[in-house]
Amino acid sequence: MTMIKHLVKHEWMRLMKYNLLVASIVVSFIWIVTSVFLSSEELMMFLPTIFLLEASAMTALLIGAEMYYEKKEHTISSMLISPMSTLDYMVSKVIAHGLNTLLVFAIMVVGFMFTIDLSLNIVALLFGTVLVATFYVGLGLLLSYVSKDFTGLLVNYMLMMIVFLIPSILILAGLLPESWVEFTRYIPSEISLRLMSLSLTDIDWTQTIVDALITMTASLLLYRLILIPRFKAFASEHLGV
Amino acid sequence: MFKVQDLRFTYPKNKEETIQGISFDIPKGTIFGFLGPSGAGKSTTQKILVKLLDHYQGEITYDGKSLKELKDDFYEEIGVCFEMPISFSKLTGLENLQFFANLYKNQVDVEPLLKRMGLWEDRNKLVSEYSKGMKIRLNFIRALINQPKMLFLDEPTNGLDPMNARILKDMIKEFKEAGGTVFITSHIMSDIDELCDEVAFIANGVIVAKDSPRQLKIDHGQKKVIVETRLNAHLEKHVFDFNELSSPRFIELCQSQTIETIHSMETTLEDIFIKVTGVKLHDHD
Repeated sequence: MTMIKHLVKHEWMRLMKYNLLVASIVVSFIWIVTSVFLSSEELMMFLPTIFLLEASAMTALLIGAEMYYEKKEHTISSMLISPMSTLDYMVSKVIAHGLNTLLVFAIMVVGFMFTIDLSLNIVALLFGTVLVATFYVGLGLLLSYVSKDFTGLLVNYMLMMIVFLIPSILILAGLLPESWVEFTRYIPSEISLRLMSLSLTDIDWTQTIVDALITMTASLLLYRLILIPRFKAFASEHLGV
Repeated sequence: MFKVQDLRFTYPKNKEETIQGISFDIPKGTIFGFLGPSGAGKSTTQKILVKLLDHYQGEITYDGKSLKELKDDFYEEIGVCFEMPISFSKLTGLENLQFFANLYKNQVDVEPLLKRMGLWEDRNKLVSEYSKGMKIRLNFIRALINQPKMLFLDEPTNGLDPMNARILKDMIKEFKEAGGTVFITSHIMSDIDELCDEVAFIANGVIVAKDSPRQLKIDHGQKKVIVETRLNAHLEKHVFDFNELSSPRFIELCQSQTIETIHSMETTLEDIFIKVTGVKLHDHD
């Protein structure tokens, strides 16, 4: 636990020193400024998507940027030859980036309160953020493993999103039967959107439990079967020693 | 400290073994040099010894325990100095050391180390403002930060000016005198000659020579002496076997002519490196 506490503290220090925290705060202010030009109804309609983008895309890209620096500066290699375990490393990333997302949400919610009469379920927002951010931190790590540089990571992220959208596009184009719509409800972006909407809508408990279980299982499989076993090979790649 | 027996390793995408059954011991309190051309299997062996690569064949023991059974606590006892800079560029030198120190149970006071390595005045500068030499010195301090029993040094003096290289080599010797064990690779053969108790040369995944630098030089050198004399502005070279040094011919030469130089034909580690690894032959190929 002491190790994770130290790693989280240091993650935050680096988020600040590498200006990544500033970048995410700037994005939150852009959303606040945008909200001024939207009606209350429009903002309430877009809010789940804004929350989703912050908890998913921003989280994955921030992780990607951080990993890019860790790889470029070989600090990840130096951490690898310390008593820190791979699990410590990944848990600290999830906690630090989860906290970062919550900070950004707090700024946005306070900002939106000046433009609309906003009421939301804080517990539901926390619940959705933890699940979604954990999964997307994992995806950010995975993209870092397979991308040569940060540009490659951006391209791979876009490709992944397009792949997620393909079933919906095929249905719209009539290339897949309408009955397949039900399956598209369970692609990651749709599940994440429902989880990030929990704070703003009446909760459908059955759907929420299913979504939460799918997300937790996907995260568990991602970390347990791919990210943790391949971490050493990724971190020690191109390493002299 | 380390005992390696019949170590073999094949990378998953390769068909051929990168390490083809090497064996060596690194006794406690010694400095072991591991030398070889690029691609010989040097880095792979080091990665295996610091537990970065797992799926090897053969037996490696550290302090009598199988390396495969050792957990993350193993890292409490070793320090690794990488050849390339390994610091967070947007943190200061001191912040970097504090971060790495907090990963360990054992921690040293970094102030004497920073002072000895000439970085104390620059401890609060961002690492991005450090020169290459300063980053290398910071790497070395990072390797010592957990009071390790064993040090792995990869080209430790590469990029250092002679004065700082001297300080670093003195610190390596002091580490050994205090009971520490060192595994070192370097292309600077004078460093290896000065520091190492034993040296192994690896080529194409096989150890091709292993002994103390002194013994290697004796074995690979010629037991001869070249004497250069000058007679009437004419320079002459005379070659004698060691067992001829008490012969009348040698004594007469010394008495009758002006000797300008006497050299033994002892070889250098550079020559041995080229001879045993065949690196020159590959270059010509």
